[in-house]
Amino acid sequence: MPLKIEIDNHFYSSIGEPVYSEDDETFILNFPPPIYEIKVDYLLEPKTEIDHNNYTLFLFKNNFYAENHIYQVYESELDERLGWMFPIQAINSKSHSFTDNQFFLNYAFAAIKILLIGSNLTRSNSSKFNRDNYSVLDFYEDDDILLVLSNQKIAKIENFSIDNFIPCLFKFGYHLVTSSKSGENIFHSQNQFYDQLSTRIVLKPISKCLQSELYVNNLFKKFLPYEQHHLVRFSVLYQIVEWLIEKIFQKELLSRIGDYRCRAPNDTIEFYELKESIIELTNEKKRINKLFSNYANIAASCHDLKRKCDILLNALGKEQNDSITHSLYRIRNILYHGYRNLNDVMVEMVEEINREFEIVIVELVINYSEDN
Amino acid sequence: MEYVSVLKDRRINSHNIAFEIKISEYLRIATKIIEGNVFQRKRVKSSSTIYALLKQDLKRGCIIPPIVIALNQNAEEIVFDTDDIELDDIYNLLDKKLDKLLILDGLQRTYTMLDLESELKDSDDVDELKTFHDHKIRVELYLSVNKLGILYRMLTLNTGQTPMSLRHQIEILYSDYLHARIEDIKFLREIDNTRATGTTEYNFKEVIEGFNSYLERNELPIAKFNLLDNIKGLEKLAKENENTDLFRSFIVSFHSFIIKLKELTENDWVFDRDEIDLAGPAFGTTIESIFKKSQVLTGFGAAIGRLKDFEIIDSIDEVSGIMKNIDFEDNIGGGINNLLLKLDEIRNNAKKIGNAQRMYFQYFFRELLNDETDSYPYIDKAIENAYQKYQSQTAL
Repeated sequence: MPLKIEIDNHFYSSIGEPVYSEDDETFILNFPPPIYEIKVDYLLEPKTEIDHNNYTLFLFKNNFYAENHIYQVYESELDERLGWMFPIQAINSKSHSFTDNQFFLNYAFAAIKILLIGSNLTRSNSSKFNRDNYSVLDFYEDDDILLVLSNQKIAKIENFSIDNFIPCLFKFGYHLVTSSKSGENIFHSQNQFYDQLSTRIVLKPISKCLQSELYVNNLFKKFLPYEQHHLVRFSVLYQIVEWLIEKIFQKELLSRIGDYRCRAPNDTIEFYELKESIIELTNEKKRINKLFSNYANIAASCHDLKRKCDILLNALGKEQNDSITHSLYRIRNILYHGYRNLNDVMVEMVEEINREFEIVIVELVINYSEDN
Repeated sequence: MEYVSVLKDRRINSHNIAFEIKISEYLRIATKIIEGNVFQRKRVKSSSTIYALLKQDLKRGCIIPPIVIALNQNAEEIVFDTDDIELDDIYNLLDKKLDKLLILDGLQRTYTMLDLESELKDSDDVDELKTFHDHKIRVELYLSVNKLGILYRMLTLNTGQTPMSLRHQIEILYSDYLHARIEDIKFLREIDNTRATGTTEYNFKEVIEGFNSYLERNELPIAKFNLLDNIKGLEKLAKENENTDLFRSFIVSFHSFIIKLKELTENDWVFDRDEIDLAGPAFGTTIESIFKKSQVLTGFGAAIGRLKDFEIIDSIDEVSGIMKNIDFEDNIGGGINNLLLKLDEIRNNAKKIGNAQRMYFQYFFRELLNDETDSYPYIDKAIENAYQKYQSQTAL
């Protein structure tokens, strides 16, 4: 939405592109009708040769941010820098460590122009027309984070969509701003990964098999940033498991029927084996096991989730074994069928499970593959 | 010009002289005022229709609300009796003190009148120009008793559609110090495109920010406060300023800190990158480049303001005396390097680095100047203890 100023309870949208004035070190914006002019300060070295049309900007939130947390953004397959991720504070301050970094300054200049035009962004704020000089923060929120990508670089990624990278960014605590509401930033699991960032964020897309699926988008954009209740959070996370094991079921069922048709369509013994294998395929636990071990190959990354599940199982006097599948499935059954038996301490244990479950779900949607 | 009346503004202890003046005469004065004060506000480009309408109305001889100007000079230098004022006195005053006049209210109207004058001159319509020039407007002139009095009136008058920022108003008010030196201190303007690097040089803008932090008792940037808070703060300060020039006291006391640091470091401390491991560029590399930043000046302003409110010090002037006794308990270079490490740490973790550093320096000066703290009067201890306080406030 374009930037707006408020005059006597009327809102006016900006027109035209902001023009940088070297004399004042400001951008000049105009608002009709009639013409009101405001100036927006820009403290960094201006890179007036930069054409903002060559860049794409996304607004994010991240509770862990600091002004100096300015990262180069790479894609896991493409060995080139796609752009930069930085707090909006970084384009409104000369106090951070990147004020002399020419590469950053290019992206910063593109960013402020895109922000001041505002038209392609999901949200910008209005500001009262009551002074001479404004800051970009008069129109955006102090804790906004900017992801600025080079259009030339993202063109090298087949069918680029920011949605494909949302789960990966979520892992580091970044949450896409999708409307005037920016969510409650309910991030539980991400600080350990965020703390590991030093100069780069390497983005991994979600599995190609899942890229057209709406639920992954909804989960990371609509549910997790807003939903606080532990039971709901577990349920929306577990939906991914349910959905993927259903996909596994369909894939393997078709595969086995195909094999049967090819091999011995009239053989009674083969038919019996087919029936047995389909019965086996209906076993959810076995499919969960396949999901973690074969389709996503992340069983080794599930230790912490298993440990947290086992703490609750132990508190409830339930048996445990070595399998993450066993532990997770039992927790699922307890929450779905016996939630009424949990006391407050146990509810806190569910919250701990959710933290680890978030991490595992991100790994699942990135690593899930049907090519095995 | 015709005399109208003199009223006493008891709130700011100033005389307000209202008089009529031909537009031609007013514009002659106004042009000098605008040219003479580098900080006098630039034109606000707002509703072109409104000002176009005003131009049309002025051509037709409309009356506009009085323009308010002020004489930015100490009362004792005004040499006439306001109880028995003569028109000639006002004439003489305006002519002689052109460089001391400020437009408090009506600047945008003045720009519109100047525009109209220019248009009429270009159109060669002599009659219309003469009619416009001969038309009279009312002007109110405040004869100030002190700068804070003017500032108070500026704030209360300046509540129109696009009020000036407080910092801008303070800049206008104290701009005479750009030319008249305080001791050996030299102020540099942003517009001069030079940075203060010498021991006696200061960037005017940063000193203004520091002084504002003293007025506000708050180290944060000016724009974040509302008008009412500014006015309430000024009520108290106007009394304090009656017999002293607070701005002068402020910069003199801060300068005494710089002088003492230079003396303690024997004028040769320079940052050595090999001595400490910083994550980013050093906050500064010399005493001047570290301690004359706005973060330090605003921290200093807020700190001494609070120390005065807490009755730890009686006046700003007392600070210069305390500065004579400050010292390093241990190694001087190590102490300053520790400061750079602390500032580096703050930079890496703060959501707003500038504000966080301001807060840190506010604690630093409160530690250093308060004889009830563990740090007093040691700079290196204040560096360390201020960081502890900063951490406890921000829970890094």
